[in-house]
Amino acid sequence: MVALHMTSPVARGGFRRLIGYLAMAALCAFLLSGVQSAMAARSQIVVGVRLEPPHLDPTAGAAAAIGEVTYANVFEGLTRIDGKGEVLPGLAESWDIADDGRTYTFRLREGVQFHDGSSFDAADVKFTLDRAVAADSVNPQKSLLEPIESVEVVDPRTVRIVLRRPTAQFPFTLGLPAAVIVAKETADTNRTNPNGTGPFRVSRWVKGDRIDLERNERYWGAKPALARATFRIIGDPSAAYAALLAGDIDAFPNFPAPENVPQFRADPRFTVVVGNTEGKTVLAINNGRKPLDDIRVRRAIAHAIDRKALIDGAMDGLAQPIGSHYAPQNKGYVDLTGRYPYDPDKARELLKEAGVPELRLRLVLPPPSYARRGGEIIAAQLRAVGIETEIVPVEWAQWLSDVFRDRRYDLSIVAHVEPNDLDIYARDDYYFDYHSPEYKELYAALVAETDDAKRLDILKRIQEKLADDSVNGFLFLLPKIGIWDAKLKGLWENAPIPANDLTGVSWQD
Amino acid sequence: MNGRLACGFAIVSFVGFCALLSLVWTPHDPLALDIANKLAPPDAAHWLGTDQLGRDLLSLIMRGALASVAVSFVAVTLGVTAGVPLGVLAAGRRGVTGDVVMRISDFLFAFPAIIIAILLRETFGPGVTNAAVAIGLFNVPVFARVAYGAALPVWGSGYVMAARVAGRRGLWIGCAHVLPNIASTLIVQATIQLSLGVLAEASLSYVGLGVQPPQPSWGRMLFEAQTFMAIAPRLAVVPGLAIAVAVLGLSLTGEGLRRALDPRREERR
Amino acid sequence: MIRVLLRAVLSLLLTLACASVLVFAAMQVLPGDPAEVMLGVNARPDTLAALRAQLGLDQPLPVRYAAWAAGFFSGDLGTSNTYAVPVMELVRERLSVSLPLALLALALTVAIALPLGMLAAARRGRLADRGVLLVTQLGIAVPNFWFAMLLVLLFAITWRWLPPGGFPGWEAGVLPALAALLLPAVALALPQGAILAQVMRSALIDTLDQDFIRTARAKGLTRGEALRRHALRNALIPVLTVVGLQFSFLLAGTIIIENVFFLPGLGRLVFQAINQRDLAVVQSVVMLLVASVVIVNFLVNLAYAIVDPRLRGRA
Repeated sequence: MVALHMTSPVARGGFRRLIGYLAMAALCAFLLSGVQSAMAARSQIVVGVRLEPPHLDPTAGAAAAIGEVTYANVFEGLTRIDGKGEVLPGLAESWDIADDGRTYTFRLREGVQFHDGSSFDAADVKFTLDRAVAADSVNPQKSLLEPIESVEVVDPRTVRIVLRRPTAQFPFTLGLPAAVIVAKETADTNRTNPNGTGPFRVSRWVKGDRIDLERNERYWGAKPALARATFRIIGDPSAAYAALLAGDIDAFPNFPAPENVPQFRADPRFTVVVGNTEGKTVLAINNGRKPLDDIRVRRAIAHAIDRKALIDGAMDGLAQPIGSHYAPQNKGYVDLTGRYPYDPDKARELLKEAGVPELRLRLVLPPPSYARRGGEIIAAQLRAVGIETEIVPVEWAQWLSDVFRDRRYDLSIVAHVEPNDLDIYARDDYYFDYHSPEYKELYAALVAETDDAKRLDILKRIQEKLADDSVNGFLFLLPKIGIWDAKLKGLWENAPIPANDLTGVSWQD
Repeated sequence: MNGRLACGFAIVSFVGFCALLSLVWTPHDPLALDIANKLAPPDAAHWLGTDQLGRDLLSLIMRGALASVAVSFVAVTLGVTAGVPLGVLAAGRRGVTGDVVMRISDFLFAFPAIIIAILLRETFGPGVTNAAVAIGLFNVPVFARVAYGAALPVWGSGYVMAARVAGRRGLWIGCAHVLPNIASTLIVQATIQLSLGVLAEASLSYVGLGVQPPQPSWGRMLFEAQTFMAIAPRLAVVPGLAIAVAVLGLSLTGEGLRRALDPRREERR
Repeated sequence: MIRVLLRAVLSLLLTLACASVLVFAAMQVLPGDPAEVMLGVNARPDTLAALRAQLGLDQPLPVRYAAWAAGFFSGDLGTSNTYAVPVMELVRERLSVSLPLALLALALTVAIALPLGMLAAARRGRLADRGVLLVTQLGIAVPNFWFAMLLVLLFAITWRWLPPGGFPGWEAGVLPALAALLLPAVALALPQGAILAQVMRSALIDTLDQDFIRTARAKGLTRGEALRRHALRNALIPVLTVVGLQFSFLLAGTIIIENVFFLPGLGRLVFQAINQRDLAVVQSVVMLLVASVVIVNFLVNLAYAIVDPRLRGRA
């Protein structure tokens, strides 16, 4: 009936009237959008994130998106990692390490409550860590927590953890999202109804759109300046761009489209911070396949890659090149980008020497644009030295089963975002199919070494070994492009771990 | 030849010509990257400018036409070869066979096309053949229905009866009498399905099913252009226009053919 | 009549059973392991096995099919692997976006199609008619996701009148929620409106040629009056049939538009679920969509059969 009524102006030949109606509708819409932005008060923030967490329990899922919402905001661990990657006290106010390097004694903070009102004590720590290393554990960092031999409750405020072997990184590991402390009673419902000790609690989750947090007024530490925070899920880069410009979101800590950065830089309403992540982006090579098992072929690939063009094309120039599997901001970094410089002639020569003048490789690309766009550039660069590639774009599910599990690939582009993940080159079951006794020896020495100077020396040799063997094509470090309202202060500039710690965020009007 | 047909035919020939020409010649190599010269605005060397990786946009559009044309052509061929015999057969037998054929085509229609396409992509891979098969699959019931509807009165006509009385077999009658009589309807439908095929190919390559990089396709160009909308709207506008023009050309041709081949309807205009 | 009805119901059930087998089978050939996707790259084999057991993926196929089908047809759609909530709850949440979007798009479709179709039919063969034909053909030729991108560029980025995407939820107020749905609805309505306008035009022309209109004209009604008073009502049947088809398309076929505007609708739920291998969600929602189309078709056929005795044999 409504529809019939609407036709009448046209039927009477009054097109002008129709245009009048349209103009009125547009005006209404305009007024509405004004109402919307005027509503934003200054003790709340809308943060854009790219991926929706599948659930909200960081101890039961690997998705970085879980930590990006919950870490330090909803859940806390014994230690916490700050924006510079330093380990700070968290729910443990201090800890001692015995001389054997295997026994840790944690002093827990007093007066800490979970959101449901139950109090936090040593039993919760024991439950959490036992659960994480149990046989039926689904903890994503089980391999890093695996050194834990036993967890003992000394008294309600003291926990003693014994490791199977000295592990220098253990306090850092305890600060990861997967090691946050949960309460026994609510461990099974944390996925949908997270019950943590953090300064915010989850008040509402509109699946597919946003997650609302509100301040936990009973928080043990300094209360955050924000009363409310909303994580809006905006995966599409162009939608993220439009939402920032329109003021629908206040901050996008990990903005997906580097090509739009110049516009935000030119706009005084925004702060643009290009920080670093732990995302070592590599051209993964299947070392187990012929002829890629030949080091000359892998070196040829390394020589064929023009990192500058790659970074300009795929990342709009906003990334640091790397020459090995180690992030430049970390202690002990060695610049190895000159080890096999861009040199197509040398690449062709090496290929000829290896007896493979013609090569056709399968380049499998996961969804992120660094991989898809980067893949097209790498393919063109390889083509220039006589290596043909078949580009196969896949979703993550298929990448995991085809590349990661079944190793059905020759080349792939992926960012390894875990910090301290040099162990992957020592693992026989890893998808690079790289087996080097020398490397394994070096890595074992690194893990056991507690002396800092000696550690750094081993670290240097490890990086050189990976670069020399040209295990993968080492491309660049994924940048963390943070774009937020110029009046916002306190957001992380770098991303040592995937997290959006909002505890120190405030508006400066 | 009416104006619509002429206009549509001219557009279709032009698009087809560009697609074929791109096989032997394009202004630049559509696959050659020139990152130092990315997002360059149109100039004498690059008439439509360059894309985010410095490729020549005009060359990409020309080569992209090839994918569109090829996929929709294969999909229609598939639909015709599988759908038309089914429809004709169903019309000739009526009864149970006809019922079953029509039920199956109803059944296929009930599945949400784009979801099925995404499932196919995940299962069989994102290649161009699979895109053509996916579109072709949904063309089968269309042609079966159209052929069924058109063939039904023909099977009941006097000369078919006469042929039956003369002892001709069903298959022979179908080929000799029914097919020629429904050919014009089928040609019109094929043109329309071609235009829908171009549109479908664009949608599918937008979700990643179709011609794979580095080979260009219009739908994927649109997908990739999205983040450049504010910097270089041209990258999104040009492929979209190309799709619209190609589809319009085909649908004008289809509409024109319908009028040319169906004078009764034309009379009523 | 009862026999006919029985036959129809039987064939409906058969169709649904076939569809459910097909949908379930499609899930099984889908490569990728749900547990792997959930746990990511650092998962160990024992962790994966534990999760698989938790999800019930270690049971034999027939058992899983029977459990799912029995649940589905008794109204229990299962539990989402990733979100760990009942699928029904997700569907309900998403429908609160998809259903209003589909209705709004449909309203706009009709609002576009009715005046255009009537105008063209009233001025058949004249300039206005040719203009409408060209415009509608253009409307069909434009890919709707491209049109959507242009709308965002214009209304959200350049003029900032309307939100570029996302959905604030109905609790944020009816107007902001409608504002978020307006651009997607326009993008969806353009090609659909163009199609419907063409259907409308030819349906109107068909009825205008019929005798009762001639009689009405002979009694002194102008062409426009005859069109509005008599032809419109009679042209409604084919138009409504198309509208019905369009509605089921709008409910399920909006994945791409929902992605462009980042709307948490049903289509995007399926899209995400496929990528995350949340098979429980994919199979139940796809089956739900198929069932809704099949049942609507069944009801339409039944209605036709009741109205038109000639069709009874084929219902």
